[in-house]
Amino acid sequence: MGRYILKRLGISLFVVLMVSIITFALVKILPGDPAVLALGTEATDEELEEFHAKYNLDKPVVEQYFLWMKGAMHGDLGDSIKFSRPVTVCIAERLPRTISIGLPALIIASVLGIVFGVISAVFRGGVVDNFITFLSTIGLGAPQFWLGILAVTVFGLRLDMLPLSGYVAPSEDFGQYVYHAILPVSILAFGLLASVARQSRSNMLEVINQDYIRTARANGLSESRVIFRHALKNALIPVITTIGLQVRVIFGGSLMIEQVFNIAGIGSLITIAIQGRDYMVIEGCVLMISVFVVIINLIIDLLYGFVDPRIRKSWR
Amino acid sequence: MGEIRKKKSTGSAARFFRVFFSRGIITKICFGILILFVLIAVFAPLICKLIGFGPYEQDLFNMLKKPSSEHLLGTDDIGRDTLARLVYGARVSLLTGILSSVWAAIVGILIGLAAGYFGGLLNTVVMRITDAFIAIPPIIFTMVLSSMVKGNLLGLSLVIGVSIMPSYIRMVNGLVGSLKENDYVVAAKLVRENDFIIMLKHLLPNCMASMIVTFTMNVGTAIMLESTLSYLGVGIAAPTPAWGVMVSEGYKYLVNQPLVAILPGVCIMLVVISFNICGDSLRDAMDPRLRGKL
Amino acid sequence: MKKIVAILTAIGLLASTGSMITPVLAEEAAPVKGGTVNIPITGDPTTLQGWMLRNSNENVLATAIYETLLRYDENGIPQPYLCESFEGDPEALTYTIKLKEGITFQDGTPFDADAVVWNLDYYKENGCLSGSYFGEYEKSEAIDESTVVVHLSSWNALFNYGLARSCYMCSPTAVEELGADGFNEAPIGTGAFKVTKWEHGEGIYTEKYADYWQGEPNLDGVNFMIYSAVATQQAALEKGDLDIINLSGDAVTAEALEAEGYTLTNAAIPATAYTFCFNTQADTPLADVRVRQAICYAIDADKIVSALLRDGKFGTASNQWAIEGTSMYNDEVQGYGYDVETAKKLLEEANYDSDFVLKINYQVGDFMGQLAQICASQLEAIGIKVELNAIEVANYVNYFGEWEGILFHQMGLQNGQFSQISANMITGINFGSKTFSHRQDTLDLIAEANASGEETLTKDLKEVVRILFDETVDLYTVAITYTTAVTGPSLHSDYGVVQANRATWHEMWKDAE
Repeated sequence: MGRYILKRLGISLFVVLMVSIITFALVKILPGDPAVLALGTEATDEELEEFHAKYNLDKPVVEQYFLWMKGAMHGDLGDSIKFSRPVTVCIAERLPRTISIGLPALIIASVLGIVFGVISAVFRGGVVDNFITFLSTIGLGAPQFWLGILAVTVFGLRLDMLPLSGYVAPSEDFGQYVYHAILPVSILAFGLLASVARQSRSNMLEVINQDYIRTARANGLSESRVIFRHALKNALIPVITTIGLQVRVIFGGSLMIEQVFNIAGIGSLITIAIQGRDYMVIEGCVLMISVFVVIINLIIDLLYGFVDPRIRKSWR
Repeated sequence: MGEIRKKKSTGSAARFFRVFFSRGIITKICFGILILFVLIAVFAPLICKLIGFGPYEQDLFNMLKKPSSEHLLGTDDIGRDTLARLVYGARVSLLTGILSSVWAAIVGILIGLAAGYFGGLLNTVVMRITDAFIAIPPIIFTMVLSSMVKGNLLGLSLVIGVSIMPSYIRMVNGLVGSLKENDYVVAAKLVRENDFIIMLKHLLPNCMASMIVTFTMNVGTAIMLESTLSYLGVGIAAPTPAWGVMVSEGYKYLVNQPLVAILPGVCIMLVVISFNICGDSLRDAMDPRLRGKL
Repeated sequence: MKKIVAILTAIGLLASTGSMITPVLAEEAAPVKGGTVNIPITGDPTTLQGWMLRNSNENVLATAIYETLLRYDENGIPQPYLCESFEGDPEALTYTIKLKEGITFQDGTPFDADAVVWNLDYYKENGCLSGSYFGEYEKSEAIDESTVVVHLSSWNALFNYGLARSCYMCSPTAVEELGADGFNEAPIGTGAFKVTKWEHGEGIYTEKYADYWQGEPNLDGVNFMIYSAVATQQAALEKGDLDIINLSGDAVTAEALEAEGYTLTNAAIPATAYTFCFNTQADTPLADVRVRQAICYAIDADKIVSALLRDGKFGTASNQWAIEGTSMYNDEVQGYGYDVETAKKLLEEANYDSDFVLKINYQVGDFMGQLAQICASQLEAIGIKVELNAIEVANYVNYFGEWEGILFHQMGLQNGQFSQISANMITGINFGSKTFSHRQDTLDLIAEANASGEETLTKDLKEVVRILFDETVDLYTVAITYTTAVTGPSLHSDYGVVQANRATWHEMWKDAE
């Protein structure tokens, strides 16, 4: 098992490396020169060259990549072209905000999603199933920025129940944090909930009808015992994948949510960076997100083994 | 195997639909909505004739009007009939959503299938590259790529397709990974059936149910991505009436004239929900094991 | 050359900020001390270093923190501000600056001749527009405590524009103590409000500088909060989270707020001229002046202005880059009124190829998007196929030198049409270098104007305006917008935020709660 984990770690590193290459390539596709954006159209050619040189933009792309990677390995993601501050500082200052919105959303969505999915499956076709399906699918069907601004208008403006926007760190004032985070967390969770619920429901239905469950039923085991002891475990395996996938959705969703709710997190940083062609920030953020996602996937892979003996077999 | 297939196909269509709609009223409604929107998309020009306004027809002195007998759903910020634009928007959204999902499904399923079946180094490499793509949030990915395609529907659907492809690869791969240990696959291998045949005949059908769920989810995701990109100004180009564009154009007036931004949002929601719920039901109806029980 | 582009950019960037000239006269009530005012900015400034400030988001707040030696008056002419007098001597290649007494930086250090010399030298070395305005700057010396003499290598009549537009006076002590990066987080100027905290991505918080040279500010502080969308800005204003929002070309929102009792204050100087810049040089139907004329005739500008800008309430139509009745307006310009028949006839005469697809390029923006779609539909009415190309802000600069078809440009008007014409419609600069016709007589007139006195300058440039808009049809103005500040009833005095370079921040006050 230790060897397996080591192997997985190696693979994860490879994935992060791939991400960094893909991102680097992507960023180069963006039309527009950050130097012109930063210095304005009045900049002279020398000034532009100087600027390019400062950020290694004058070097061949491959060399740029290696220079950047070399820095990244030492924890230096370069300087933001737009704000002329270290990218690591920008990220460090904003990441806690995104996490404090994203993590509760993920937890809420996962727990509720699984519960909803299982209930839906057990009461398949009934009113409860229909209602849950409908509710959870709204989250999937409504664009988050749209839902966000709608919620702001309804709860913030019309009903005057919740703040329009803003953020308070939980460490600063937990009550205020909750008060400010209710809407963004709910909307983010709402979007994730449906995926988890659907996947849980589908798998649950599939598992319920499998032979061993039927056998269990035939053997006179109580329905709840069948569901919780036998069906649930097997049904949840693919659900874990879905939850793992939601991590990147959280970062993606933060792009819209943070804009609507004026939260200075990673999402709004990336939006600004893409709009401002801030190569270093885009690369740094995506690298950071990928490390996050890869670590979570690693954990999920290991979890997979715990719940599915067939996969554990392959660990040897 | 062939015999089983035959049996399946002899199962009457009526039974299929009975199962399909067995979830109660909600599937019926959603199926109805879907059919409705498809019809709307197909007959958009005809509907606009009936309404009396085209999606591009401007009336500058009737900007942001509330619904009236003349403009059933009001007008947008340059006096275009909202209903007419919603009707044409169905075309754009459905087309982008379905096209991108189709691209993603075809390529994604094949890659996932092959990698999962052959396993080994190929599987590792493919899956790690997929992991890399998955690690990049699709919105970032599409935001960057869409700056290249310039509001073109086909190009945008490709971009969105690429970004949702990894979900297929992973899903199929995971399923195939455990399916190929099954007796019938092992048996097929033993009788030296062609790899390709095994994949298509034994593995693919067994992935279908999950793939359909994924597909419907992805049509939704794609429509949403399109609207998000349009909202950010890198999606479908104006003046094409895409729902996403409409939300972004109306967003500014949300406080004063909320209908303009809410209606296209509602359309997006309805279509995505319908796709999802119908997909769910479809899956129930198609899954042979479930079917036997019902 | 560069300075001209600089003006252009300055103006382009200013356009989105707007500038307000008419101060709202304070009601009879005496100003109340205290209170904090929240003002929206659309995103983080890229910098708060005085020598690097240049874009619109920064201009909104720059003048609360920093001040400049000179300041534009309502006609866009630089006037002494932190100085008593500013005299140029073309013969001696010097400018003599006599400073006002008693001004201090927010850290208490004196704003004296040494500080000014330091600032000018520092700007020359590091300033973002140094290449444009400080190209001829050689050195400066402190003659006494309040007199600075600037030496130029060759005469630069626009040096005062540079000092009014850029080169915010920073505390030398603070810059040297904190270093440039540290100063960025805790900038020190001579302005009425001092930055207490820059919460990146959230906003910038300031407190009043009690020893401000024009008197202690009324407000305790001004916060610049990031609200990227108009809808959220409006919601925040209605909820009281914001005290001011700025609108441009958004009559619907403005009027809705007005109906709710908010005060609308229009800038006296128009903000932006939404202008068709034609590519006259490429081998397309547009090379034919009759096609360009037909396009102008096809646009119903009056209808657009009347519908979208409420006939002068939020903007106006014009046939040039100035408004009728102002000093730079040329009455002789005929313009092209709405006339579909003539348009069609002209197209016919020009043998217009109806398969040609006219590309209209524009920078994404709410009002711009509306205008572009309206124009497209009006052009299609005379049989011109149009393709709209909305360009991201980041990519827009790439279209400056050359574009296909029409560049639907937002020309800032703060500095007036003369400076725009003489800065933009010449050869040797990037803007339109490969697309404008640059007819020799216009170039000669501009050159003559720049080298001559007020009278000839006015005459020459007015003539150039006439040629460009009427004869060569390089340009066509669709609409001119104002910037409108929307404020709640509790806020008084002149709303510095939209005034950019002309703000009187210390006078602003707010009713006690």
